Amino acid sequence: MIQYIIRRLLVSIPALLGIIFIVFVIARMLPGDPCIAALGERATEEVCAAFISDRGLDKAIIPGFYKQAGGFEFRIEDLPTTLIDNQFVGYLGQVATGDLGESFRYSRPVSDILIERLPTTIELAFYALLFASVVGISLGLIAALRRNSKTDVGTMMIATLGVSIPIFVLGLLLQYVFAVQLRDTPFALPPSGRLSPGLPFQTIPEAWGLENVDGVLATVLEFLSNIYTLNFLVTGQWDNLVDALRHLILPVIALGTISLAIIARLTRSSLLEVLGLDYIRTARAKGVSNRNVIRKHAFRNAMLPVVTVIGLQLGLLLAGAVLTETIFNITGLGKTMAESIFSRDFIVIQAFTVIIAIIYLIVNLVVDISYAFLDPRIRLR
Amino acid sequence: MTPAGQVPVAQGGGPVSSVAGSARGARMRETLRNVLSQRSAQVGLIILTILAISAILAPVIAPYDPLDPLNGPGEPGRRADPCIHLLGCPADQMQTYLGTDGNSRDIFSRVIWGGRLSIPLGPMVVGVAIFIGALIGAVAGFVGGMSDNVMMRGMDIVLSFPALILAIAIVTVLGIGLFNSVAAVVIVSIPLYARLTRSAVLSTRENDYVTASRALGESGPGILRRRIIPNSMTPLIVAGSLGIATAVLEVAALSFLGLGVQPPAPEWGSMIGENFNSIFNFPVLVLAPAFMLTLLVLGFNLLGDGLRDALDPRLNR
Repeated sequence: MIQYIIRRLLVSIPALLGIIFIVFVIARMLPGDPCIAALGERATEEVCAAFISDRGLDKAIIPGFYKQAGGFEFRIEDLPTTLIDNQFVGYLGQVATGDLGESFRYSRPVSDILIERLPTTIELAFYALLFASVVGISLGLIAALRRNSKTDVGTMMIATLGVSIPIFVLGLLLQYVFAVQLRDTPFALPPSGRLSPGLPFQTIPEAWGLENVDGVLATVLEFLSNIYTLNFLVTGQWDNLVDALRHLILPVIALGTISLAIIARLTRSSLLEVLGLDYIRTARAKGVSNRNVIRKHAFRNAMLPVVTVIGLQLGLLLAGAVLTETIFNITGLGKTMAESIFSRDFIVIQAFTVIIAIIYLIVNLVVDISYAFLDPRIRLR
Repeated sequence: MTPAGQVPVAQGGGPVSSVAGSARGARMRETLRNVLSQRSAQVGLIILTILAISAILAPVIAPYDPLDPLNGPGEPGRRADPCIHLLGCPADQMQTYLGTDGNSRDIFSRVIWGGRLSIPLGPMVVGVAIFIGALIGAVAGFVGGMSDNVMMRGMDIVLSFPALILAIAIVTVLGIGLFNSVAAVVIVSIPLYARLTRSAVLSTRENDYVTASRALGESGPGILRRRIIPNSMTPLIVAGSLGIATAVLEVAALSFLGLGVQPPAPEWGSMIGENFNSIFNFPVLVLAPAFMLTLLVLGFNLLGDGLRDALDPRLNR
């Protein structure tokens, strides 16, 4: 098992480097002068030359390749000297030490923005995944157990509709129903933001009297405080917790529905497949009750492909967060990224793309490993 | 080597083809019948046909030009509620089924014309992605070795980004616009088809009829083009038909974010994105294109489900 995990970890290192490399090259292909972008149109040539050599932007991008106006230039004679001394290696070093550059638009380090906004997206994606898995597996289970009944057909029709409705369309529909049509009823739900305006709340350090800590612990505490529901839960701010959860309901449904439908369909077909296998017939022949056949024999085996797909959903959810956060006006990773495109804040896009891809990579790794836990055959390969 | 043995080579058909034409025709007819007997395929086809007809006949169905404001010169553009003469709207006003948008353009006409952009984009994206992906996958699977490794690791890396996020990054580099957003979605769709083709090619090339072609002296590219690719198509068709729905969603998402089709051109995704805040005070402006977009994706999904069930018996429920 440990051997399997180590092998799997080693395999993901080239993928990680590949991700960073692709994003890095994409960022270097961006049109426009980085100096003008950072310092403005009125920067003089001397200032720009100093800026460029200061940031190492005149170095080779990757061994032997230089950026020139309108393209790349390859100088073979520089290949050996630039093997280590190039911008890509420099960028790797920066990323490894947590330095993701500075946003032009906010004039702040990207890592600060990340600590503030990544928790928002993680919270949203977590609840969406929870919603999609719990409801999806239950619906799939019910549909499979009542195969070809009206419940089954109805559930699967809703699932087909669920994978077909774009996230932003569903989000807008939910806003229309719960914030416009049901406005003055008890069922009304807030259509935007994370908390009601003007609601006072404490961060974890404030609530626990830890304002004096600094360093990594302070960063971690700030990060955790920005996962509002977690913060309110551990510090006992119950009114705020209810308010935050109410704000989460609509975005979570909008974001989670496509995944829910995929999980429901897969649970149903996987369970039906397992129920048709010989060992299930054997169990039934031995007189095991229907309930126990499902619970002890079929369910666990049927869940194998479902677990993989649940893990893969995280990529969909992170991408969907861009749309959900835009619709519901939630300032997370996705909304920041969408806005950065229009203000041409490339450093932010570069950093966020890398971060999202790394999260995705880690999740896939965890899924693979948990899969090996569930299915002993995998470990032997 | 009998002349009869060379018939398949000359005709370039499938592995069984001394009576190639009619046998293949019969098989295709049977497949088609299979597909059409699936309930979901039927519903999907009906939805797509209605949408396609409405888009093709847009000049006939839509009462106004999608870009022309209905207000007189000098009059400010304004949103207006629907005005249908049969339902008691004064006859001296212009008839609009869904009202007008903030520039006094007829919403109904814009939604109908929007189909002309939104409907063909999905199939186009998947068509190009399958072409490039199949080429990469076929070469990788057939040649093997180093080039296989390099190409497939490249595909793995593209797959390790969430598709929409990578598409956003690509559009940022290429610049905002319809063509670039479509190109971005094509790029992120390629790896799926490359992988599928590669694995299909790997299993197909072990077949006896491939060995036979080789023995007959056919060239590598010839074997690939005439023997292997035609017999590796089924998983591609199934994945492609389901992939259209995904492609439609991704292109629409980019347009929604303002990265794709630019206003004033009517396209469902960008119509929703431009006006999504109107959901609170003028919902029809958003809900009309949203309804059409959902219907389009639903149609492609249903058709894809039907194709999968008909062509891939292993997945039969």
